[in-house]
Amino acid sequence: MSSRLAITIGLGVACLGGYIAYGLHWSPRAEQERDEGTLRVALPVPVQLVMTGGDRYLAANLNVFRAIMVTTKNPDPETVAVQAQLQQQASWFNPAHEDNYYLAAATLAWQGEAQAAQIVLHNATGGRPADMYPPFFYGFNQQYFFGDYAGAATSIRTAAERVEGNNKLALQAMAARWAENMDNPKQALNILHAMASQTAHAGLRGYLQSRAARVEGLLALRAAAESYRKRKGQPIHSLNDLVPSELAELPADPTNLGYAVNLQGVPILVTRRPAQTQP
Amino acid sequence: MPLFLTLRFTLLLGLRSRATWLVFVLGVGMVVAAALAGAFSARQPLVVASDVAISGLHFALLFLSLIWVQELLQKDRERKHVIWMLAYPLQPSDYLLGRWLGCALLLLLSAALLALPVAAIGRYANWGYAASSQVYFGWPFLWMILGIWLESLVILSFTVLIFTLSRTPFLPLAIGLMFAIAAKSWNTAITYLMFSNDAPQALREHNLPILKMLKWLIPDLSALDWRAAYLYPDAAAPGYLAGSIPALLYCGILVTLALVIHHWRHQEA
Repeated sequence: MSSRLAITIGLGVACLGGYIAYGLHWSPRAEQERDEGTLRVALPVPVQLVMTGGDRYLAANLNVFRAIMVTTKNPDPETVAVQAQLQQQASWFNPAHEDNYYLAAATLAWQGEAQAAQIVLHNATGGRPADMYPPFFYGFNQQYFFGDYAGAATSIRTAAERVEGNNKLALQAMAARWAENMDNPKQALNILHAMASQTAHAGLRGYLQSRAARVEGLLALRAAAESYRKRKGQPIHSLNDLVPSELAELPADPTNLGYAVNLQGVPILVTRRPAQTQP
Repeated sequence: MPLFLTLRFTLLLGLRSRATWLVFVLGVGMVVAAALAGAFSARQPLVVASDVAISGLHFALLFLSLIWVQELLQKDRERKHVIWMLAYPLQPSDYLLGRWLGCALLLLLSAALLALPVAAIGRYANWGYAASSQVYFGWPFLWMILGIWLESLVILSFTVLIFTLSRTPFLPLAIGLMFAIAAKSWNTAITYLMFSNDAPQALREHNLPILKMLKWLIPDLSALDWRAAYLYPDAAAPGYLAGSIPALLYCGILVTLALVIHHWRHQEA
């Protein structure tokens, strides 16, 4: 190669590099995007595939890089929407991408894109069969953002199947607590009985049976409250209204959390112990 | 014997050509880019760096296969060396097959050399994050390298076929590149259009029939991308046979066609 040609090519490469560097770092738009951490563009999946030469793993990585680079200080709704789209596309390209599902669980769900986060976590649950975190985060989002305690309990049980030892027991206990909070006590009771029969751990079985007994007590209270309402034409105001007309005595709660009555006169489970006050 | 001689000359030409230096330049560039990519990862810098390095290896072998067809076949045609070679007792098929085998071996050697920085990245590019998810060294790593080589072999075979048909110097390179992108993309694109709820209806209606026709003409090179077993140890094992058998059969078809066309063209001449 002649020296003149080499110099020409070198100058051309230097011009190209400078042009790209200006566009990336010093142009007013780049500066605004860097300061504000905005995202505005999510290309269609087929276009991304062609741009990465057909390499779907590279397409997934590039999408996740862009999502990670967004600043966490109050992104605008459009940026969050584009980030959600990028991460869903990355999940499509590579459902096993760990950073993608972790970022979705940590940011998307809390920024109003819980549905998008669930799609990413659902794909990661299938793509990472030995990882407990995707079904764990999926279940947490189900109960926290969607109030779906039954689905959350199922997801946590999936996470429990992927671990051993104390983690497994802790997750199964969590699933039991969420199952009993679902708005269908009969279904919750069936789930708790099934979980108790499927575990070989005596301590966990005892715990699940106590949770099941608590739900059985709730069922008895609700049946009695319904009978009271039909007889008196009005709902109960406290559980003591049921004794002795409907029940000989109030059912005991093995967990000592107790029962209460909501504003509509329906018996419910107390889910938190009362705060201890200073003497 | 003539085939072995052509093969030997091809190997020597390839090792001495400027394109060989590309192997080292690509290797260095790949290591730097992949190592930097790991810095973007919150929990798995080793996996992300390895992933980008593997993508770099795919691109490197793709471009090497295209460039070696240019250097070792197209330039022979431009400089009329083919005519001189065929003046010897050498069949046109021996010449072409020898060149193809030589390029295939050069690609295998390049894959083996570039696999070393990929392995190094998988071990060291954790950016100080000791709890990074780990990659799986062992048979999955070797299978992955083999899959990348097979992919480049298919691209090489197609580019050689286009070389036998073309009458312009850069046509094999351009069409070979387009073939590579199409063959690696179509399966993912079809799956997305058929099964994703986010796929636009207009895109689905317009492109799905074209892609479904394309799958009968172009092999699925994404089935040779076996990196998942290396990057994610708990992932299901990829279909090694399901990916490699169609690819090898397709190579056989392409090389046979190329030999027939090459023989016919030189008989005509």
